[in-house]
Amino acid sequence: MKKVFELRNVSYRYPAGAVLSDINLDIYEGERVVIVGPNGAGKTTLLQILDGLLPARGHVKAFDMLLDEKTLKSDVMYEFRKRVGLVFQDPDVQLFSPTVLDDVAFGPMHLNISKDEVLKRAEKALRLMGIEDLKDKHPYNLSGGEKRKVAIATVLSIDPDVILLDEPTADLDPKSRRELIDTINTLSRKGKTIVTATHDVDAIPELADRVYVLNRTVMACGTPREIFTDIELLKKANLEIPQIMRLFRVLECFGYNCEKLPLSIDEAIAELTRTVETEGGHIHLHIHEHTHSELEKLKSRFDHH
Amino acid sequence: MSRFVEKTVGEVLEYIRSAVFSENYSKEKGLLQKIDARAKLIVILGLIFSAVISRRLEVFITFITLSLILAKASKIPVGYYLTRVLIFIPVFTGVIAIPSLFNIFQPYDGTEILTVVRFNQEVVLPLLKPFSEIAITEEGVIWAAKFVLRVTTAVSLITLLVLTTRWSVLLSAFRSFKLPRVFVVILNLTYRYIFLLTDIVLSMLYSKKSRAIGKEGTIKSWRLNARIVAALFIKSYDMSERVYLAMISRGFDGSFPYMQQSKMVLKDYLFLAGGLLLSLAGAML
Ligand SMILES: Nc1ncnc2c1ncn2[C@@H]1O[C@H](COP(=O)(O)OP(=O)(O)OP(=O)(O)O)[C@@H](O)[C@H]1O
Ligand SMILES: [Mg+2]
Repeated sequence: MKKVFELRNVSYRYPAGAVLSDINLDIYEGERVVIVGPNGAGKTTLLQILDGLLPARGHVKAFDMLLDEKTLKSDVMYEFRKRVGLVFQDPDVQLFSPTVLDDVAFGPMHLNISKDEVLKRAEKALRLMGIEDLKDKHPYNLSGGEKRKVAIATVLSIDPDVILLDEPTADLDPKSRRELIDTINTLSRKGKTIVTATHDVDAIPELADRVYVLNRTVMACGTPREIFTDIELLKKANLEIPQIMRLFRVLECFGYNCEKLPLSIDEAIAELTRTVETEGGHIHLHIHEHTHSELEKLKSRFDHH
Repeated sequence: MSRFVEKTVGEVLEYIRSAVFSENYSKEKGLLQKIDARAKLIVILGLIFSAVISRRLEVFITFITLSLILAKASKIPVGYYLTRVLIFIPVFTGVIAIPSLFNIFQPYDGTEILTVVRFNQEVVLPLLKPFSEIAITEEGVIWAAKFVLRVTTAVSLITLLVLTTRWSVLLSAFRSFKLPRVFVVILNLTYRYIFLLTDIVLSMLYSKKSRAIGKEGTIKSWRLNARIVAALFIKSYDMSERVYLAMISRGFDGSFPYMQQSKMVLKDYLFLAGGLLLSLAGAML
């Protein structure tokens, strides 16, 4: 598999102080990677480094191109910008045109393609986000979630190979959140590489082939399952586990025997089906002597690990 | 008192926002909306230039009347148009026009028409010539009146342009005059920042209001306001940096290509010719 990004010993400091140090990270073509970590962990900073916006110290390679300070200022970045798009955490910074359509067309207009093509791409992106009806509105007067969708559309219209998303599900209502996750996965199936920074642990199993846990440096890296079953790591990184997983931990206290804790609804369905089929057509739950103490332990762990 | 000021600041900001950022009328099918933005831009700038150098009251009156007629022909309700024009006049003129009414700020001795205060002895202040009374002078009134009218004319005209032209189209009109890119970029970002700034100030005012429990002293309240202003500077700086990064990220290279581009047709040329003739007439009078 081809590498899209390769970071070795990368560090970054703002004038106010060091934010990232000793970052080692690889992202492969077509992968879905989630970066998770507490507030101030440096997720946004890292995504901006991947997007070639901030000059970091160390070895940052993208598509076999070394992104050093000189490269960042040169014309080769033009090709890079076509291939990598970043949706910012604050949608306001991405919206500055008089209308939503102008904003969504801003990226493609810098691609040297015909006006018709620009328009076609912008409209396709609007359709993908389900916001065709916002097209003539001022981006300024939209609701938080609408702004978020427009901001995502402004990047999708460029049709980049790599999409970096900074907290894309924030501000979205449950239905829009669901739709966005589906959209992201559709894009992924079309071969896009997708890197998402998020706090939304419930979305992680659905958005990640691989997870990087970040807190100023890379604390761990692995599949969602590896990350969510590493209790020490969860404690250290202040990470919650997905709701579904919690539920099955609760079921375990009631005697449910679960080899592989499900992380998502789909996995839960598979798990329950398997149990019902192998255990004679039903699921057996009961209160045994340790149920209450185990539940207490579990609850205190969920509340403040 | 400070509550009142805050409420007013909030209202004025809301007003400016709706005034500057509503593009409702630019989508109507009125007279000016049908004219090419480039022709409109030249004519309006020509008329404003003419109003600025003219000394004749008749010129101001004619231009203001003309703006009203054009507004009507462009399907802008006259009441709406007038409030939009008038709201900006005090802001632009107050600082200059009001002092100029009084003798003490004038370089010459004018004909006094109303004495405000009389002192027993001559008062000497830095930068001003010594005076023993403060009075309103006839010359001051005429100067201030002309000044206000001149500004009103200019604002009426520019309001007309802004109301009937979409911002993006206006920017592309600027671009087509081969103005330096950076000028158009700055114009656009200014427009954007006005919005963000009013947005930030408003939300800070509201968040302050929602956090203020009970009555607070005036001094404390102003101290809080000072902090709001400080935070505003930092926020807007931070914001501008990120807006720029977000543009770079999408391939921005200093150019602002625009989608809309149309050809000038006969009616645009006629409008252009008529407008320029009128500007010339106004300037010569
Ligand atoms: N422009 C800046 N100048 C100075 N320091 C900054 C700047 N941007 C971020 N920081 C600091 O860098 C650290 C990491 O910020 P970053 O925005 O990357 O975190 P994050 O993981 O995205 O957090 P969040 O989850 O809250 O979005 C924070 O401590 C922050 O205060
Ligand atoms: Mg962040």
